[in-house]
Amino acid sequence: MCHLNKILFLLLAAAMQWITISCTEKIDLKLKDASPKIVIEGRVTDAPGPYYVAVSESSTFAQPILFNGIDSAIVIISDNAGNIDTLTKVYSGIFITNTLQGVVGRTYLLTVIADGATYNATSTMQAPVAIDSIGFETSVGFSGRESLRAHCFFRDPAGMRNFYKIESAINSKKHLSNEASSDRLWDGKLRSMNVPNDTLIPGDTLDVNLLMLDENVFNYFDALEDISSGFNQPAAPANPPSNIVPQTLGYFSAHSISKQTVIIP
Amino acid sequence: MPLKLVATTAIIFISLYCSAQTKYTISGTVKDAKTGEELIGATVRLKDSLAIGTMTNAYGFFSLTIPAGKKKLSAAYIGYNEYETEISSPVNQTINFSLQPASRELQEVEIKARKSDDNILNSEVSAVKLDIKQLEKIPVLFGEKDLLKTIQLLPGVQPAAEGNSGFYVRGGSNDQNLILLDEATVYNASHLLGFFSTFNNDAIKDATLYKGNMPAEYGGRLSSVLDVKMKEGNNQNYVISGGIGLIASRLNIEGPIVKDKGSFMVTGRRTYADLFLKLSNNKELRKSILYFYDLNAKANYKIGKRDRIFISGYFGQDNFGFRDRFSINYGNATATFRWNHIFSDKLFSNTSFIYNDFNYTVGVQIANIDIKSVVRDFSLKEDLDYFLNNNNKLKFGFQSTFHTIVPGQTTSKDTAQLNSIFLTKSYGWENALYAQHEVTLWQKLNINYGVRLSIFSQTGPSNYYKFPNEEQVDTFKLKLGQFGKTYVNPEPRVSLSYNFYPRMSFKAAYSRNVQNIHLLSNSTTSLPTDRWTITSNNVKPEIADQISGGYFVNFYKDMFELSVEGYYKWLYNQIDYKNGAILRANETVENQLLYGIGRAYGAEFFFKKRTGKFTGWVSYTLSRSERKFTEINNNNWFPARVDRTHDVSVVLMYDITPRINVSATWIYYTGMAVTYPTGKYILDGQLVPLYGNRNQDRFPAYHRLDIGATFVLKKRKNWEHDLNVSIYNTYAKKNAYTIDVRVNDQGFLFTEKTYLFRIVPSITYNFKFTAIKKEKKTDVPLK
Repeated sequence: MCHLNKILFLLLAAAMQWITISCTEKIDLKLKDASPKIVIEGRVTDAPGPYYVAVSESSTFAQPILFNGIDSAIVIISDNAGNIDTLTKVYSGIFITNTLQGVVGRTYLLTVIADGATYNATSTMQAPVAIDSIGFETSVGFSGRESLRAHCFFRDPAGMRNFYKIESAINSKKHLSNEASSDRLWDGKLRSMNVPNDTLIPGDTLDVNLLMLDENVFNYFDALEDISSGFNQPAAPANPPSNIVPQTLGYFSAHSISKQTVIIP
Repeated sequence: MPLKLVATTAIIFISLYCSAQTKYTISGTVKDAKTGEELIGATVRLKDSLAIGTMTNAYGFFSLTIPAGKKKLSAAYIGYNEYETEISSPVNQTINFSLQPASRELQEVEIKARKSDDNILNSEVSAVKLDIKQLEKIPVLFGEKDLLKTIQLLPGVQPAAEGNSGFYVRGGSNDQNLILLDEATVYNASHLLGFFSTFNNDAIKDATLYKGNMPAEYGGRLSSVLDVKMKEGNNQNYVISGGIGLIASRLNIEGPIVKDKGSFMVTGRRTYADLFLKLSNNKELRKSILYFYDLNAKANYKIGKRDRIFISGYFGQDNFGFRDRFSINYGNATATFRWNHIFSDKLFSNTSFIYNDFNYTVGVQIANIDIKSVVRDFSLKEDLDYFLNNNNKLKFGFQSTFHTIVPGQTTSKDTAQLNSIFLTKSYGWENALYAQHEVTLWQKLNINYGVRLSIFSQTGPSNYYKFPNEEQVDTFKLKLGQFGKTYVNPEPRVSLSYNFYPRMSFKAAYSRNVQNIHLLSNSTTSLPTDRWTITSNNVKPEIADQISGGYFVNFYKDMFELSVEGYYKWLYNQIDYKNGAILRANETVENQLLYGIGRAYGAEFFFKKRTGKFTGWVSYTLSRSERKFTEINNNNWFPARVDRTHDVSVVLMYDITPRINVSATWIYYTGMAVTYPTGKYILDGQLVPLYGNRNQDRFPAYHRLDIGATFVLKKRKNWEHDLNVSIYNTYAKKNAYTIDVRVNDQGFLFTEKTYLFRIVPSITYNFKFTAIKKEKKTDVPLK
């Protein structure tokens, strides 16, 4: 349902192709350059640690695409059960936990001190929802090409708001996606969510992780998907609302994970 | 201000009562002699005393009070031969004029001052009456003559996008335009996702655009009113006309029901792009659907000397299906029943019952769901024209509209996976009372002042929401006939013109407009599925105050027309959206909205050559439109999406011979205000664009040249046909439609534009067959 916008836009795009001869061409624009901003990305899960936090800086449009890690950052994660872990730098801008173990129901606090400023974020780990099964179907996309799609089936707990994100990997290679869903329109249903991966080849190993997000993190990914999907960009694109205070780029998520691994038939 | 108003009112009332006794009144109608169509805005004057004159109203009716004595009376209208008649006896009487359309050669000689100086004389500021005949010469995309694309060539009016029928007036958004077809509101005036408008040119008689300073009889939108009137149908002869074009074909049939008493008109249009899909080798494409059609129908009949009834309707539908997977069907339906009654030679009444409906159905066959939405209005409208005397005209009336909004009913056929969701319907009752007085003082000063009192009530039977804070949602119920929040807004309107020379005038106006129905859309492309919502306890009425003033002059025997206008507009309760707002399938959409203010100002220049072999105009607008929201841009002003600094249109038409006409239009405007990335970062191994402040960047400027030619193949009394060819975007400018960010092979970002059209040639064949009856026969000699 949340993809309705996309569907409508694809319809529009199809109509345009029929009645226009739409083409693309490189265009040079004068873009304004923003000064570097801090980017924080942190995760704590109910899977065994260590967990990582990435601290970096944004770059201008014209600069090469690089991860500009901030090595001097101080990163601390604590929980409401009294555990405190000061993270250790392992790569440039990548910090990992030493002792912390994520537990469902606990609230986690992330503190990052970087470039003379202190950033805080909290997130509460939601209870996991088990994956029922992984199903496959062959479908025809807009291009008319047939492709194999995977669906992850699970039973949504009734009477409460739940927020999901599916992450997948093929032969242990992670597939990137920001798609997240809420049960706003299917509370309590046996639900299938599309595994956002369209390069499925029979015989490969597919790992599916079903993440249970808290609402703030869901809002973050939902807005992130809007500006990064390329389809029907919002009229006024803006940086996603972060749960980090003071507002900066990125998010901190404590979430539970349900896993299932299958061989693609 | 209030003091001045009182003073003016006093003067006006004095002038109301100082009329002499030895006067009598002539009333009647002015018509086209060939078709019997009433002429709107035709002038009727005393030949021997030109200062005594009047204009016909929307139904071709006039009333003129003249001093006793033998007089010569004349009626005139642009493009028609003037007609004179002698008044035999000085008593109240009815005189109906039938004017012969002038041949082209005659026209040039005949166009005299008083037929063509209406733009100077009347007090309407920021109003443009469109010449529907002229519209046929202007080249357009795919050769489909389009009213909405032609008005975009006027100063202060800008296209919403490439080849799009959506338009922005004086820095206002698309939904702030009230589009009326025979008084019924057309909520979505577009076909094929915007490339065509719902107006089939064959069915249109008259169209007037008011750019914000509308008379008190109109209301309900902030930016403009486009009042489109359908043809009545020829009440003299049966006519079949039509056209075959690249995209669509049209057929129009009209004729008398009973000669001179009533007539009918039926016009249809359908596209056939989908027929080409059927020829495709791709079997998936063959399963796709893509077409739209329009049907306009109207009939009128005179019952006795004082009454006339009209029934008119429009039905249009777009059907669009992508294979058997997704589909959108959407369309408008309108119906108007009108009753004209002449109470006396001075009092003219029109009563209208109006119905309009806009609906869409989105089918997502792969997910087994259907989403339906409807916006429906029922209205009763009463308008009274009172011709007090030649210097004083009163207009008053009311309108009562019941709005129903069905915001989206999602029916799931697979309830195991997805619940069916029926969003709560909302209802609104909108009432307006208005009165206006048009007065002429010292033969030089024209004042039109009035007030519209709009009353909007949220009503049941439905549930509504309250949001006491960010988290909490409270519900309250309204039963049928029970009212929730009611908003009462007086909307004062004043416009005046002062003719300090016969061909020169200054005009000024102030008006307030209130809007109670709002379109929610936070995507780049406006879609028919964008959500309409009405004013409620949460959503306040949008309000705009506009002042405008201008200088108008005609010179060289009215051959040239020049005007300069300026305006400033204050906007209140404007709507924007929270970051990541969910507008679709959301029961509590009202807490996704942000409210702010706006301002728009600009200067409009217009120069037109009106007569001769060579005609056309140049229009230039310099403007700005900004918004301010607490939650956006740190509460600083930012350019609205509709903001276009410069906007130029050039329209040229040349009659090489009476049979060959060529035309060209060139347009240029500043690109729309957008938000480009100001940087980038890596998150979770993905590249993410970094955004700065809202709308700080611009699309590249847009410009385009279109050319066209019309060859009249034959023109006889009963048979004529012509061929129209046109080329859209003649110099193949690749105007950006969207701009995206991509990564190249070397790992650097670059920007890429998508453009829709290069050169688009088109050809249209038009014909018209008129069955001229030689004798009075009851059956139709149609062959």
